[in-house]
Amino acid sequence: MKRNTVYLILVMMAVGLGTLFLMPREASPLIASHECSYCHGVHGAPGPALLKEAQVETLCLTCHGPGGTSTLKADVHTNAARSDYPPFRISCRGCHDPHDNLPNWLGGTNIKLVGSEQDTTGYARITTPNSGIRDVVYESRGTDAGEPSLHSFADNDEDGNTVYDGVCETCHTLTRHHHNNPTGDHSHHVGETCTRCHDHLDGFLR
Amino acid sequence: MTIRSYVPLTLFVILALGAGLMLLPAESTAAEHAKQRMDQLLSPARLSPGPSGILLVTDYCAQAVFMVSRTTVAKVIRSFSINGRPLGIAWARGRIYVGNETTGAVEVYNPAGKRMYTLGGAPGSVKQPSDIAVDASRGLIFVVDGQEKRIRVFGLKGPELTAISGIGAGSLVNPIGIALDQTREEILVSDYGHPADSSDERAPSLVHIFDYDGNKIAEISGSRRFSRPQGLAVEEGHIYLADGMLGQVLVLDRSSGATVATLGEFGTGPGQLQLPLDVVIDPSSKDVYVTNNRAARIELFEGGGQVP
Repeated sequence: MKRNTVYLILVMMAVGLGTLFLMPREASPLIASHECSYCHGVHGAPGPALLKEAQVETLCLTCHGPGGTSTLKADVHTNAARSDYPPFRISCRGCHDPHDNLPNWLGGTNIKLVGSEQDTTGYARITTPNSGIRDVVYESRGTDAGEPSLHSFADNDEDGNTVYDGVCETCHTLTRHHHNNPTGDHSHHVGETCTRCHDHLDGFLR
Repeated sequence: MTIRSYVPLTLFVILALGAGLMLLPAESTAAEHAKQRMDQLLSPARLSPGPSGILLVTDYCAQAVFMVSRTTVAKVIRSFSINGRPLGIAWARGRIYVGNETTGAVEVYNPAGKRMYTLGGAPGSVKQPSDIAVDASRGLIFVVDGQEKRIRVFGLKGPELTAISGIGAGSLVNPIGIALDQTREEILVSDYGHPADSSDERAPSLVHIFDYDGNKIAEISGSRRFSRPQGLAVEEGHIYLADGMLGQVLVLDRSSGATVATLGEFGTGPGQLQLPLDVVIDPSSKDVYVTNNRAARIELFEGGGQVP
């Protein structure tokens, strides 16, 4: 009897572990504006398997680029003409997770698919070129009809937690304004939305 | 006065000029970009045959119209700025018709780049002028209004021809590109369909074919063949359709809808396409020109309009 009980427990543990590690992870609930089949063709998909970054970027731009149907237009982020950075090219998935909006480390939920799952915390984070993996906060604070507050672009450490986690500044270390640390000038156009001048469609260049 | 008496004054003037130069603002990066943008393509979108030997190209990010040579497509002959994001473009009777997505208007320019007038009245009247086609012999301009999801028809001088305008209302889902078969008096419109349903039969990507009165006479389904159809052209019974996702131009049989050939393949190398957005065919040479958006160039497929 005792042996049977141990055997039963072992079987249940094996099934449990198998469920944890072998079963595919449940798909996250998608945001309202994107559905699976926008990008993934289950049967007879005409395109390639979406494995290469260039193809993912192209797929995004078929809707969000020139001639696309979305009203939210964008382009990849590259150096400005007088950039102090070495040449870089941040493509769509550098900042966005096409599958879902993720919770951020401050307890809220990001919008516009900003940040992706970089580790087991599940928080929205970005792998930055110079500063490793960093938290990113980009959320509506109810200030402008669902649009993010200005501090979600450049937090300017308004909350005093010493983390500069706005979506623009979280990477920046060599820009003239709004670094991801206390150095440099954090007074540039405070109170305005960065993309009003640095248009996503122009790669955030001015 | 001696020469020596001029020395302090001269020094003062030089110092003042130097200080003035120091106080002048540095040339902005915007100005640098503006210069670059007028010299080279940044984000070519739609194409149109222009005056003899010239192709007209809208550049969405440079916010400009470029004129390039048909023989050496890398050579920019001239360009002029657009106040907004240009998409559709056409040429007729010495005028350049440009769909301005920012202002929501079809603006008419002379070849020197001077804006003459706007089709359809006030800006905002054409919500998303994604593509334009002209039948100059009949004096008709067809404009894809992507947001209104219909084809607007104008006279060359500007008035909207309300009797036939609104083609496709109710049947177009996400119209993108347009081409005319002037021999048959047919309007061909590419349509993304509903993006979520483009891989099945409910609302697949399509090429719609209407007559000039707006009656739908045929459609070619993209199901399992194309999903992001952009600009298109018609040549001798074949439809040349750029697909932004595939990185190819599909050559479709006009009657059966079958794919009979392809031009290009996805990639960034010579002859490869990444986000192709429009096609123009030279009717005499059969050369095919394609806007290769991500590569920021016009791709030339010599004799590509000659299907075996």
